[in-house]
Amino acid sequence: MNKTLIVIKREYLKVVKKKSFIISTLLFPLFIIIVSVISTLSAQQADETGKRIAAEEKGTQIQIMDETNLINRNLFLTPEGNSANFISNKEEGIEAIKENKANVFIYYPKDSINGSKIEIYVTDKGVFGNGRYDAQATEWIKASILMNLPTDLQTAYNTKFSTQTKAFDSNGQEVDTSGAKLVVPIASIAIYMLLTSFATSYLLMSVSEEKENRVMEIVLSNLKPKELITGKILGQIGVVITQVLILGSLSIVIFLAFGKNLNIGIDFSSIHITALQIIIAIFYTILSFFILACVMVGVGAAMPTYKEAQSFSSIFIIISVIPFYFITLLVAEPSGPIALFLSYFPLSSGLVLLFRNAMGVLSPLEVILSSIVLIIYAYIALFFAFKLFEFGSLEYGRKISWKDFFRSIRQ
Amino acid sequence: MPTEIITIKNFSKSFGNKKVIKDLSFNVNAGEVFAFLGPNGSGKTTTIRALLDIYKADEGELLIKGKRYSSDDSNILGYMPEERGMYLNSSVMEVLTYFAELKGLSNKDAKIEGLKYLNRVDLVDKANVKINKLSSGQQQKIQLGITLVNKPQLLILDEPTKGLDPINRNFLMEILLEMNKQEGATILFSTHQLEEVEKIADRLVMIKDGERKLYGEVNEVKAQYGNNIIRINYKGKLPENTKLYTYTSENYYAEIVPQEKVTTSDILKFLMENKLEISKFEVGAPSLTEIFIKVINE
Repeated sequence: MNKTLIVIKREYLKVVKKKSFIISTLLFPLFIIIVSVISTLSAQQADETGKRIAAEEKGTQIQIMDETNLINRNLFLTPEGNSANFISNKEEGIEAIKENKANVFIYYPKDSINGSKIEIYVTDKGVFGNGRYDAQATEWIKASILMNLPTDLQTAYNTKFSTQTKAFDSNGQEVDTSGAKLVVPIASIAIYMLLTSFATSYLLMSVSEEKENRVMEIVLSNLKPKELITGKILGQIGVVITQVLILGSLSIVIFLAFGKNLNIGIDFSSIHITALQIIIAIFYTILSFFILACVMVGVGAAMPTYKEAQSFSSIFIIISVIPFYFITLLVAEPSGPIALFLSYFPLSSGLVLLFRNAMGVLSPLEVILSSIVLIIYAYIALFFAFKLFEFGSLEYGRKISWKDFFRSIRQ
Repeated sequence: MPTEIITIKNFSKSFGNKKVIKDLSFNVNAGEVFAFLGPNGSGKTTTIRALLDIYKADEGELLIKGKRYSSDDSNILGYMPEERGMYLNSSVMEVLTYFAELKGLSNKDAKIEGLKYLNRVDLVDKANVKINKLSSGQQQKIQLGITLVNKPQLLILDEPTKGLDPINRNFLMEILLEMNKQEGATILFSTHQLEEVEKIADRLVMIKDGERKLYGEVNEVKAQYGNNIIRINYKGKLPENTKLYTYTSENYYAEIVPQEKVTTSDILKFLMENKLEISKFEVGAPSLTEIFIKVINE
C-alpha cells in the first residue's frame, strides 16, 4: 500500500475509533445551539429586568417637572397606570428620590424637543434596573405630542403598517432578501469551523505527539516528510468528512421525522446556489484549511510538547476566527471595506471569502484575485511548515531557536 | 572481495558555523557486525541520520547498497534511533502493524509477523494493550520489534543497549547475533559498551570530534596498541613516573600503559625498587575501553 495511504489510514482510524470523537461530533451542534440560546436569553433577560421592575412600580407616584408644557396629564389617569405628581421645583424632586419618598423623578427641560436631555432620577435597582424609565419618559412625551393631533391622524399613526422589500443588484437582477440566503453561508462556515476547530487540533496533536514521544526519527526513516504531512492532513480531512456525514445524516433524519412540526421560517425552495459557487467554496475551504494545517504542522514541529504547541497555536486560531467578531458587518456589507480587508488578510481570508461566495457577492475578478492570493499564502505556509518540520521535528524536549531557524532558511 | 552495504566517503556536515563531521570515510560489508564508536557529541548520530537521509550531507557520499538511501528502501532496513519513543496511546499490535506496513509488508503479513515477534518475546497476551500500560522492559522489547518486524537485511542501531538492564541487554545481543548468523543481516551499531564490541563486532570505526581516529578489524585495532598493558593489584601508593608509564587506578587496582620503548620488566623493576607490595601482576593486550580512553585523551 502507498505509504501516504498507510498514514491516512492510521490518522483517520486513530481519531474516529475514539469514543470522544462521536461525543464531540454530536456535541458540536448542541454546543452551538446552547451558546445561541444562552446569549439570546441573557439579552432578553436584561431587557426584561428593566420592564419587570418598572411593572412592579406600577401604581406608584411619579414626580414630573415639565418645562415643555407638552406632557398630557390625561396619560396618568388610567387606574392601572402610574399616578403623576407634577412639581415645579427640580431640587424638590431630586430630594424626594434621595430620601426614598418617590421611585422616579423625571425632568423635561424646556428645550427637550431641541435636543436638551430629559433628566431621570430613580432609586437604585442595579445596572439593568436603573434604566427602567428611559423608554417610558420618551414614550410619554411622544404620546403627549400625539394626543394634541387630530383624531384621524392619531388613528393613522397607530395603523399597523406592513412592508414588502424587493432588492436589485447592480445588474438590475432582483435578489433574495429573505433569511434563506444565509442558509448556505452558515452551512459553509459550519463545515469550515469543523475543519479549523477539530481537524487542525487533531493535526497539531498528531505532530506534537510524534515529537513529544520521540517517535519522529523512526517514522522519518520509513517515509518522507512530504508523505507524512500529506497523510496527516488528508487523514484529518477524512475525519471532518465523516463528521459532516454524521451531522448531515442526523439533520436529514430529524428533518424527516419532525420536519412538519419544525417552524424555522425558511423556504428552502428559495435557496439558489450554482455549481460554480460550490466549486469555488470547496476550493476556498480546502486552501484555507491547508494553510491553517501547515501552520499547525509548523507549530507542532517547533514546540517541544503538545501543551506548548496548543498554547502557541491559539494565536493563529484566534486570527482565523476574527471575522466572527465582524459578522454583523459582514452580513450588512459583504463587500464593504472590512469584508475586503479580511478577505485578503492571511488566515482570516478563507472564512470571509467562503461567506461572501455563498452570499453571491464575489465578482469573477475577485474570485480570480482571491484564489491567487490564497495560493500564494498556501505556498508560503507550506514552505515554512516544511522548513520548521525539517528544523524542529527532531529537536526533542526543547523549543527551537527562531534565530537559528531563520539563519538556516537564509543558508 | 566483500560486498559493501554501507559506503561513507568524505562526508562532512556543519550546523551553523560548527563543523561536526570532517571528511569521514568508512564502509560496512555485507554480513558483518560493525561497531561505530566515539564519545558523546562526536558525530555518530549525525552520521547515521545523514546516512538515512534524515539530514542532508554538506559534502561527500553516504550510500546504502550503492545508492543514497530513500525511505522507499525501508523494506531492507531496521533502524533503532538513540532517541527512542513510541505511540504511547496506541496498542502494541497497532504500532507493530503500522511500522511493518510502512516497511512494505501487506496488512495481513504485518499482523502475522507482529504476532510472531510477540510470541517470541512472550508478549503475545499484550497485543491489544496500549503501549503506555507496559513496563519499561516490555516497551523496549516492542521498540526492538518495530526494528525487526520486517526481517531487515540491514540493521542500524544507535546505542541499542542504552537504558537496558543486563537481562534485556543480553536478550538484545542474542537476538542481534541470531539475525546476523541465521538471517545474514548486516549490523551497524553505535555503543559505549565496549566489551560488547569485543564480543560481537567484526570491525569498527572510532571517531572523535567528527574525525576518524581508528578503523579496521577489532583485533587489528587492538594490535595497533600493543600487547603489553600491565594490570596490577597492589598495596600502598603507586609511584608516579611519566617517563616510564601512564596509568589509571582505582581501589588498589591499576592499569599501566608503558611509554614507547619501555619494557614491562623496566616497569616491574621500578615498582619493586619503590617497595610497592604487588599481589597480582598481569601483562596483556589493552581492552577496547583502554584504547578508547587513550584515543579520546590524545
